[in-house]
Amino acid sequence: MAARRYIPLAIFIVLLAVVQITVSLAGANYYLTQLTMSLYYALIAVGLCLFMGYAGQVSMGHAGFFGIGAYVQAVVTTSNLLPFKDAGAVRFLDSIGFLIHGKTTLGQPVLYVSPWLALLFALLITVGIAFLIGVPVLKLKGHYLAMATLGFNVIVLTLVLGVKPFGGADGLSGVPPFALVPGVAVSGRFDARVGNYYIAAVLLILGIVVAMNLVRSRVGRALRAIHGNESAAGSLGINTSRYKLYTFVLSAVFAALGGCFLAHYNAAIGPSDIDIMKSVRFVAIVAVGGMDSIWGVVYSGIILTFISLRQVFQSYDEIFFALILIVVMLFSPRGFFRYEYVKNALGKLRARLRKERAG
Amino acid sequence: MRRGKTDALLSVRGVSRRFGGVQALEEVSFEVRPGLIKGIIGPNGAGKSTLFNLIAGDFPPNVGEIWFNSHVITGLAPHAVAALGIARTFQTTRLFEHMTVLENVMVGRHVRSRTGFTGSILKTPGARAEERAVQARAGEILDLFGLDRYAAHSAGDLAFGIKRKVEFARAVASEPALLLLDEPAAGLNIAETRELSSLIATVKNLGITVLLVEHDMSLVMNISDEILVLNEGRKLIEGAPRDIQRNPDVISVYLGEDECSSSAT
Ligand SMILES: Nc1ncnc2c1ncn2[C@@H]1O[C@H](COP(=O)(O)OP(=O)(O)OP(=O)(O)O)[C@@H](O)[C@H]1O
Ligand SMILES: [Mg+2]
Repeated sequence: MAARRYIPLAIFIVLLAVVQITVSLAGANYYLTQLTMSLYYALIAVGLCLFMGYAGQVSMGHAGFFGIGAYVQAVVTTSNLLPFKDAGAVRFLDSIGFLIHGKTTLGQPVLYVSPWLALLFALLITVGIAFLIGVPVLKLKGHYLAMATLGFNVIVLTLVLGVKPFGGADGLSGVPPFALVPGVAVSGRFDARVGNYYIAAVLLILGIVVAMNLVRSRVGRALRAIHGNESAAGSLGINTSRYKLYTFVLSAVFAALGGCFLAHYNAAIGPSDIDIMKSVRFVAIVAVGGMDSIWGVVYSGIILTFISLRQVFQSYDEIFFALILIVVMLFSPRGFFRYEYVKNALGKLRARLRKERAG
Repeated sequence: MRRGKTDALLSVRGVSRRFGGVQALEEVSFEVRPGLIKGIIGPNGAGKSTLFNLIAGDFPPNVGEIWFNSHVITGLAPHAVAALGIARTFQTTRLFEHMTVLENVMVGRHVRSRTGFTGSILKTPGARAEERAVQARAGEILDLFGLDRYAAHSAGDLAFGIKRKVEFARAVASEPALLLLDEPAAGLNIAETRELSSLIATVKNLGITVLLVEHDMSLVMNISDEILVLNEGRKLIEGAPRDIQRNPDVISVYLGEDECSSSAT
């Protein structure tokens, strides 16, 4: 019973390896870049799946959290602290090894904050903002909640465009590689493609395990209860507003984490990465994946993002995502890639085969 | 500080509640002693469900106080009231339709367990042990209610009578001190009503105090230790079932309502 839970995980890991090996053998490693990005986007979708599919809420603002993660990470890791190297705080950070001495491409010395510290900082800021936004906004339901979270996304986008250190319309570039351990760094360098594919895979798998553990627990049950009937959930002692808030914050952390890693992977972040159509895209991915089906969302996240990054739809990309959202809502509000659909279809097929064999 | 020193488990004191122009409850006071079944009857619109909603914390009374176990619970949120040991069912069943019967009843164990986000995500040994205990206890409750064969069924797919029973079992799973049942027999057939009656008696034997709103007179008269009659938001009378049945005021309220209540059942 317990072991069966890990079968989809094992299948997923094997698939990831098979894809990488096939792509590399075919000499098409450039596919790995888009695949890696797709894995990061799938991580964001998994977090949103907890909030939407399990807690039964909606967020049209998760590109905002993605942006907070990516931008904070980018700003912190690209600010040269050399002019402040004698300030007490900078000296202290340097002495405990949280600063990195490097050189620009022109050979000038620079002093950067370690990406690890930046990551911690980015996630803490995300958590803080998610709490601040979540407390008032989660009193709303349905379309009102959708509108309010959309508003949050607009605010983040406007700030990023208007506040100078965030680079305005150009965004930020030159985000350095993130050395996770010596020799293994998150970066978009061509010779590090395979390694980075697996870095993204490991992060996604960690996210999946966190999500799976959560949904198969007392907390996950409480979230589904809130989704099913909020007043009944409250009458059974579930602090509905707290559970919704914590799940919102957790899903924001997933989005920010994706943002932090992608900022290093792409070495850049720009306003077009965090506009509201990106939030619509996340919602579409979760909807296609089956709302409360983590594996469905993982596969829909990877596949849809990959298709989009391959520019299959060219300039109609946004229309594609808006359209699938409409189609899902109209024809299959519980999503397409549901495990139970696969199971039912397999069951029917098996029954038919049995009948044919008997008849 | 005022003391609510009394041997009552629940004490409702001068509670009023208005909805726009409707005075749903007016100056209602009564007590519920532990270990008993107290029936609440009254014509449609008398304010019975409103009274339950006030006790359960869905909204506060405009005036008055509600004491439970010598705490004031007026103004507490529903989840906080539940945590103190009050469980309820709803007049129209509110199940978690996409969850199984077992899961519904496991949610009933929420107040009796504590694993939070961190414990769940890390799957700590404590969290696992608690999860097993929750499942085992929920299974026992299903057995008690004769629902074990529906354990794996999706709650939304059940027949009406079974749904009501699941909601009852879910509330009992929290092992409350006080259980509020809002018209549990509504829509049940004779056999189901008889079973319900014996289940309520079983629950009483578990030491759970029951507050029972019911239109089925023979059920409520047979099972209740005391009865409270509400009419148009006011307390009409309170007493032993046999005295209530003979009371001329009660008879006149129900005769006046005769067409209503017979068409309702
Ligand atoms: N949430 C609400 N908003 C507005 N009016 C309400 C609300 N709840 C109850 N009422 C009104 O208060 C009055 C009492 O309703 P309540 O549901 O308490 O009656 P009841 O005794 O439970 O009746 P029934 O036997 O039909 O269930 C009714 O007039 C009802 O319309
Ligand atoms: Mg009622």
